[in-house]
Amino acid sequence: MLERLEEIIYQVTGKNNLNLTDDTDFVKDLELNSFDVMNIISALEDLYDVDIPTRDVWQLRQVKDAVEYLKAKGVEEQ
Amino acid sequence: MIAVYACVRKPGITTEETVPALAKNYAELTGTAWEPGTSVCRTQRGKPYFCASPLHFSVSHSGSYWACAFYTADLGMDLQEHRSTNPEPVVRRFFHPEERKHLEESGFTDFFDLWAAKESYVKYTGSGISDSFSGFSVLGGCPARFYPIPFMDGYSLCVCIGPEGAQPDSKVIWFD
Repeated sequence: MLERLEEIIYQVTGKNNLNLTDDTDFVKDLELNSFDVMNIISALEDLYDVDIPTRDVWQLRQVKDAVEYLKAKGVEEQ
Repeated sequence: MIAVYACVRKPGITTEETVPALAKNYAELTGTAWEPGTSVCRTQRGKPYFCASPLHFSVSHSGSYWACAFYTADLGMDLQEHRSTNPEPVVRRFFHPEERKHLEESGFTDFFDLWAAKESYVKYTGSGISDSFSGFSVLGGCPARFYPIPFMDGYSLCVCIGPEGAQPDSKVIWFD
């Protein structure tokens, strides 16, 4: 799932060689802004066919939060 | 006057350290009171503000630039780089029906201007992006005023302030 996340972040922001870890913070470490985050959320929804309410987005501060959230939505590790 | 201080993004730019230093300059420019040592606090939702000062600020960064807008009343500011992206999924999900109609009819030409305006509004209100982001239209009905400010090519910058008062002047001030 980390690889898919990296791909999506690259597609949305052009940032590569991210070397994501569970503790990577989307805003503090990757310097993503709100537009980046919303596009990433939309891409994750399309990729995994899940619904991510906007009110949940701001809980997903680190990679591990996003991974756990998606798993709880039934997305399986790939 | 609304002053937007801008610089090329680089390591070491932080709200807690950079913004008070810029505030001193803004205070001198505008004759506003500024107490050295004024620190930055944050609301529960994370909106930064000066703990005890008549000055207000809003920070944004996008692409190659970081910016901070100052004013003597509450404000929100957003800077957004124009990216080559398909705007339709974001428009469908995050924009008000009135905004969607406008964008569809205009070929999405001012998509980033509208996004910056919407973001500036939620930063002004302190609500941040939430489920209600698509519930308001910056094209009319918001109890606020929007000022697009010319910035670099390929960027939209918008400041949002309250509905009352005279229209303020604005300027962009570059710093190293």
